[in-house]
Amino acid sequence: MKYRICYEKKDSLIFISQLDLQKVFQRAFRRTRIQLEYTQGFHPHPKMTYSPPLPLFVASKEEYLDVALVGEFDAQEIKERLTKTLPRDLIIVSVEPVTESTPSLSSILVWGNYEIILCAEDENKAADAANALSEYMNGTKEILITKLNKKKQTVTKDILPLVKNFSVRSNGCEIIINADLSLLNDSLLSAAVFTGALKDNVTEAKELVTKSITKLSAKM
Amino acid sequence: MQTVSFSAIIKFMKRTDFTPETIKETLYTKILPYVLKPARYTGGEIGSRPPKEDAEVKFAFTFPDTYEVGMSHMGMKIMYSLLNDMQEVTCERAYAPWEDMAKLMREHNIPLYGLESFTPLMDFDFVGFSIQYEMCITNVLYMLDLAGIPYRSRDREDFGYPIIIAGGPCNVNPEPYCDIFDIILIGEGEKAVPELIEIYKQYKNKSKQEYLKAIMHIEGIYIPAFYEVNEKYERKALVEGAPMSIKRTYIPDMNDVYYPEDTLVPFVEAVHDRVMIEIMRGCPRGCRFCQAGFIYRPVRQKSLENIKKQIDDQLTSSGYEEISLSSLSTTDYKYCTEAISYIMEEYENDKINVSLPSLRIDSFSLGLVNSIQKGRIIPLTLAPEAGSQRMRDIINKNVTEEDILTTMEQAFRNGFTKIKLYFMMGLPFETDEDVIAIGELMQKIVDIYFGLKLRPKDLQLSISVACFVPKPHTPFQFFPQDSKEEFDRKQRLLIDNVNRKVRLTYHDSSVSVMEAAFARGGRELNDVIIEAYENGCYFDSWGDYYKDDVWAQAFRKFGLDHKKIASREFAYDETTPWDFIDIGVTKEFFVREAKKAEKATTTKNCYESCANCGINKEGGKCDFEV
Repeated sequence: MKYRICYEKKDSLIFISQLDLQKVFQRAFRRTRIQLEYTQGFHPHPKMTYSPPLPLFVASKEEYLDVALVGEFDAQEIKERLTKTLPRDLIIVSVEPVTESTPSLSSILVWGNYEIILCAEDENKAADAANALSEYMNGTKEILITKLNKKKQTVTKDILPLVKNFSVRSNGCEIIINADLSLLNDSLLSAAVFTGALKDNVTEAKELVTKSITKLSAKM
Repeated sequence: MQTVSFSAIIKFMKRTDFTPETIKETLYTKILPYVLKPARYTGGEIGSRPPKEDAEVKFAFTFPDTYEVGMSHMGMKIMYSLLNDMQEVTCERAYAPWEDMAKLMREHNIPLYGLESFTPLMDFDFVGFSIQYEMCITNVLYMLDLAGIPYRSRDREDFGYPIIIAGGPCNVNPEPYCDIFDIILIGEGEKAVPELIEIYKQYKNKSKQEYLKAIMHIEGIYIPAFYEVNEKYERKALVEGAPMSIKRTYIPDMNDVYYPEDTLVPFVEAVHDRVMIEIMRGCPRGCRFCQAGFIYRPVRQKSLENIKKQIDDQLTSSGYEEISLSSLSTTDYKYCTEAISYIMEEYENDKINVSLPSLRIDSFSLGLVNSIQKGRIIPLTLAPEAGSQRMRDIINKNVTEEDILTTMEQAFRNGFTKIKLYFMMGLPFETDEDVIAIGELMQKIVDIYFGLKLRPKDLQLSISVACFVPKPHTPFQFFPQDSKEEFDRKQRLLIDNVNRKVRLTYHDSSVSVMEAAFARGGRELNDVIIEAYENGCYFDSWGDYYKDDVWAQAFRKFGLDHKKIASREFAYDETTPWDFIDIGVTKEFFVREAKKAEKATTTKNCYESCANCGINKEGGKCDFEV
């Protein structure tokens, strides 16, 4: 029987990579004594599918994991048993059975809503930076970034189409950005890359320190 | 270049400048996003214990190597749980941060802290280092430096600093680094550390000196500052009543040894990332080069019932996918087969893999490996140690060439293709023929493989040839080590005499010579170690980080030569720097064994007949019938 698990990843767990996180879940399941279903063959591995990998240093309130278990369980029971065996900074939000009509993870996760908190030296600088960022995002027609492709060639890409609903405000020394960034497989935009592009393009934001990045939700 | 040591800076800062809260905040925002594998520095792993803020005694267990190495260490896991199970004690952990982390900690004035509560090490009552091998000693200084704690015991006069303890097997000759520590523990921490803590509670408000006097008679406790040693290694007590011989402490019955119900499970992969169940302490074999084979005597086995319970406890609490049964010689454990089949049957559905280290070269061992294989390709690792039969007799390996060749043939027939064999060179009485014999033995193995009509494909045969280091408390402690030049010559000789099908790796001989100097030196090395650290030596066991020229320079500065210390020969009646440590096996036995080695005669293992090593006298007890 397959289940969809929604979880929150925060605090010390933001320092764990996606690969290490998979081990954390597999071991947590073993501790619950709920059996995972394995693939056949000489190198069996558990049938688990994750939402797009979350980069290091990003917290999230809504991540998903689809998992196949041996036997049928009450969703609430899975939640309770997993909660007991997971590390304290990995929190189960919900567990639901996956049926044939359940849409796949990749079809429902299109946009991630992020909160990015930057720090300035003082309140005035924070307010200036917030204004400048807002002006830049309202006015710009494109945000070009350069990156290395798989063949190690430098390519330029416009990431503006991958950003929606941008807003920014300052609060004391902090600048709080909220934006939807694409989660789609071939056009995934990481919040760190987006933040970097903002700092590169807006003079007032250049010296700001990134305090935290949190994915608040994921949506269609 | 380090001009001012970090501890010097920290000393001028007020204790209140770093609270656990400020340390955590700085780490999360300014340091961890910029270092490799940041999860090594945050704690919170499964199996980690919540800090007890109101604990009467705060103990920091410190491991002078990286997190990945430290988290692989069973002794640390045992002591961590044991201490935290004591109501009045809280125990936290610290490992040597990688250099990128250390650099940022220095930049932001963050002292080394305990992973559980981010409390600076400086604010603990005890800081206990585990000294597992000679070359990690500069990392002790590195960690003390990062913690803002002075290096030498004499510079930490009062209780303003934590008590610095050393544990671990290296302490069977603690003299080269004894100035650093207030207390050196010889033997098993499970027994001595709770005793140290009990007395500490009564002396907490008195002076460090009074406390040290109060514990100096506890078995296994050595207070280096209470003695003066001359250049002939003759010792004089500076404190009335300080014992002249330090007896190693150990727990006679393995079933009385504390074993935790849970185990630490790291978030980032450790070197040995699995449940480790210790099935036995000590080894009955008596290989003459092997320090572990003597300093953990007598052989003590855990009951099968106990093993089963520990397997259940640790597998279910950790969720690990792999388990290893640990000891110095797995197949010498009475219930080895039973323990393995218990895991295979009880955990069949959990996809648990079993690993078996330290196997002997015989068909029984091979059968065990076969039984845990489950379709995986398991590399087979065995240690013939020497190429010629004469050499194997000198080291008392008690393995014949026939044993080796038969086992290899069976291995090929059973489909093993990844095979790694361990050898040593530079053993006492070694000739060039003995070195070439390693190549000849490998040729025979290659011939067996190609002689088989039905043979598995893709043979991967590799050998690793280490440089022999004569270790204290072994029959070979008296003998000189080969020089670096001789090692290098023998390595070239071997390369010319090994079939190209065999992948050959060997050790850096200069590190082995340095290791021998530290294993065999005396108090004169304390200044050298501190000098070398101050000139940039740390992570010395990490290949690229080892700086031979800086070390050599540090020795020269104090009129010493590490090559001379390594190649020094001790007469059988001469005093060695470590003679005052009584590990239970007598020097007379080592002399007898050394003389037998000269004649290439062997000694039977403890199960076959007692060789009177001395462990059986005065309460020592071997728990098997001879």
